Amino acid sequence: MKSVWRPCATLVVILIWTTLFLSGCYDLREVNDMNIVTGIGLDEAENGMVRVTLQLVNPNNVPSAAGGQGSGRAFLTRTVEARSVEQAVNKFSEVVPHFLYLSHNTLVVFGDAYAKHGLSRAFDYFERSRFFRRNQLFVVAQGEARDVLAASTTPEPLNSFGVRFLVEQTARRARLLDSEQLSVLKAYLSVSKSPVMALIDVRDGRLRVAGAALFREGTMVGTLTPNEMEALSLLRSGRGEISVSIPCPTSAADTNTSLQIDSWRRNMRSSFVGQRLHLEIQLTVSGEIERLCPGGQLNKQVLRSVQREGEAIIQRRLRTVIEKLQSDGSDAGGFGQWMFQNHPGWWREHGADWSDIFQHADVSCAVQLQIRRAGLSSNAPEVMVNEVDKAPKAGRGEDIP
Amino acid sequence: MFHKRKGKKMRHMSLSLESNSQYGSLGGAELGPDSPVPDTLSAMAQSIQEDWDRCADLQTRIVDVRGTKVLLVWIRGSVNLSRLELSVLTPLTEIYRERPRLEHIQWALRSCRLNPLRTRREVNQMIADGGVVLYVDGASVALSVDSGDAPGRSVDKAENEPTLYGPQEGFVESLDVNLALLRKRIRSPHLKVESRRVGEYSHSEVSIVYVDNIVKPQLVEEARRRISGLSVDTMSDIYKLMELVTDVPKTVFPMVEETERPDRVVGGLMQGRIALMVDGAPSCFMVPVQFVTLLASADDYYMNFILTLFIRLLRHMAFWLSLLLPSLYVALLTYNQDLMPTPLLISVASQHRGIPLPTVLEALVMMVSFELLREAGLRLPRAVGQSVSIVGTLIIGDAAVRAGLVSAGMVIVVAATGMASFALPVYGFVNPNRQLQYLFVLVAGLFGLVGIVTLGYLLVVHLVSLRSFGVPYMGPIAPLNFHDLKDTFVRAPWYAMDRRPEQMETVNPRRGRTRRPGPTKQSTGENP
Repeated sequence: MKSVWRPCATLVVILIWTTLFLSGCYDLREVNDMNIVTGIGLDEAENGMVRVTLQLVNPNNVPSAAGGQGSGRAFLTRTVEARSVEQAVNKFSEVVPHFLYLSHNTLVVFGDAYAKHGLSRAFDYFERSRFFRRNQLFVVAQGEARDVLAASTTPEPLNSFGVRFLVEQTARRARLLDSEQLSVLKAYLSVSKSPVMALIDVRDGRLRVAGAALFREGTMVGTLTPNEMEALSLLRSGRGEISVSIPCPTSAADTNTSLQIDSWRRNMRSSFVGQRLHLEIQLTVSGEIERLCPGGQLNKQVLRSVQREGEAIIQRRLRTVIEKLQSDGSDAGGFGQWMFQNHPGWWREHGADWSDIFQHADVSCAVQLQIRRAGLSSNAPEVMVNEVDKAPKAGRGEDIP
Repeated sequence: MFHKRKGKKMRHMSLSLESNSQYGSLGGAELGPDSPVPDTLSAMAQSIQEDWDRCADLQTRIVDVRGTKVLLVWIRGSVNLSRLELSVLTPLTEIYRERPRLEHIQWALRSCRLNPLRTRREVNQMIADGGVVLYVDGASVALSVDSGDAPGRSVDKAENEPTLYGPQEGFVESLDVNLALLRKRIRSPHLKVESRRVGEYSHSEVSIVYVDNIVKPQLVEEARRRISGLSVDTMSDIYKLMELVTDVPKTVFPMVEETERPDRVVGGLMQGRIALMVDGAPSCFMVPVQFVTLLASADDYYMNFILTLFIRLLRHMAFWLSLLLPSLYVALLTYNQDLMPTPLLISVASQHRGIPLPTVLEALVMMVSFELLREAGLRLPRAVGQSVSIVGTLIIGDAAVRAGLVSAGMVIVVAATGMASFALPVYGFVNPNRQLQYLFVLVAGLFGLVGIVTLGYLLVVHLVSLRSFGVPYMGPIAPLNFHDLKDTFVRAPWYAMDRRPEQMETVNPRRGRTRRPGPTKQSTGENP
């Protein structure tokens, strides 16, 4: 038996060993044969075409300790027009040597014209393609996406990283909402269907965050300024750094009391007056005093007045943004989602008309501000100085009788 | 019928072989090895001359002691001549009796250890062992005089297993000295040493060392059985013995724990293991062995047990790094670039611009160069070896990168792999890893991470299937034994390790009953 089995076993081992090499390394990709794509821009072109701009890393020009020279630009952009995004991406193989490597893409910029025509087509491509990571940042350009991708973001050498830093650090201060693909798609697929994306503007070749783009069912319907974005952030429970300025009673223009809001909680109640929806928003915010009016003394009365005025200002800002949302028909505050979760029976009957119901809803807000800490000193520095501490009058050029 | 007869013949042959292996074939051709010692001096001298024909280092000397001729035989170099002169020749000259007989001479040499040798085989064995054979004309036995002084070095530092703390002594090439080093540490009659001769020509002494009221008796029996079945020409080192008594010869992983430190052997004996020692070998090995034991260093037992945790984890990491690091690098750079952080990918891409070789070949070239460098540094004389290392390091580290042949990242990876392999406490682990890493790199180059995972899976299957003298190699991790985990990734404090490893199935599982140290309530003045 042994003599029969041994050649068979040898043959099997040889066959298995040979199959190892039959793969021929078919999907082997060397790093020096690839173009690392870090940004994609989509713009509306003429005749229903789409203009796709790719931002490719030029590794030798990326300044690094590993030997990058950093003499030229760290990236280059290439543009192709086609009937669809996927056709355009495929077409790049005809214009750029080395194959495209999309897995490290970190930024997708939609031109505002493209965004106004609807992003559903692009969303499906980015969700379906297995090459893209789901944490890429979605932003809208105020103008053309290719201008955003070509702009300088010094001191960050790579434009897409620079844009990402800008958006992320702005979002940390609650002046933007999370604009990553995963969050945007989650908002898009929720019952409110109103994602919000960062809006980027190019001025004099430099980038700046211009606010946010509002969407309704994948179509851009309006924009919000960063200040309005702060109010929108307040409409969703969360944390951040929101600054509220309360003008001082004195007339000086740039003097005010500053509050730094760092956490807030939203409660809602709904009722119906006839067919009209009435939403009551109860917002509890807490924060610290960042600056007091010159000569201010933080006593009980002042504290209460700061509290009252702060509540009134926040309330005004909330009202403004809610009116804007209603006029644009974008439920970026997530009210629909709240109704869906809290009144599922009602939603089953009226959910289909939510956009219309929200636009005509009566939304009221009440704000309760809690001032937590007054900082290290309870008074403005001027209060600490009195006449006794001052130098003798003779020393200040006055005659002593 | 034919088969039956053949079987008988075979059995007879195996018996004769076994007897040969045990006693050697040094006997004379005509009379046979077991024939008694000749009864005249001339016949004795002749028989020795026949047996030791063409052995220039054999020394024979006939001394006339007041009319009785005495023959002295020894091997040059193995005998301390001044001791021979002092303990044998001088007492012989002081015999005043005319024609002294054997018993008179024995009385005169009473300060020496004398043993009677009755057969020619015994006589030849004693000469070969480096003893002095003394034959008195007309006697029916020869005498062995213990004045052997085989050349050898004195006890020195353990060069291959240095530690910062603890004793520094290492074994030497003499079995007696090595056993004495163990006896110095275990001063108890329970430390047993069973010796037997192995090797048809070398007649080397192989000892099984164990503590009889700790070790599992079947383990000692198994060791006896494996050693008694050996039939070899020579057995001058432990490596041959290792290979011949192991459970699984076809594995690259060490199936025994080799050491040259007596303290480590003592630790092993106290765990219920046995040590096998060979005369002439400067190290010994212990069985059974487990994977985790091989990643423990003697230092772990001398330093604070809390600090040991980090070092042990580092060593476990070093083992897997030395095996997998180059292959992971190749897989990430060739197939799975999406798993790298973007800045790292950009940095690697910039390093790889213009490098002519694919990453897998680049890795293989670097690894081979590194191995060459290591071998060259190891084999050459120390003075030359250092210069080779410097030149090699310059070429591999700097010039190759500047010339654009390899990337700086690859140099770092290969160097880190080498460093990780040097961090392993047992050298027996270094070699398997440095060979297996080629296989992993090849598979990474062909299949990427999928290949590494598959081969890693096969490796783990192989590891868990191994047994060392019946004890699972991957124990106490697989099969899991919570109690034995006290001395694996962590080294529990001594007061907590009050029991010996359960997987060794010792007859005395209790190691001690020391309480956790600390002040008692009485000493702190608290009321009980």
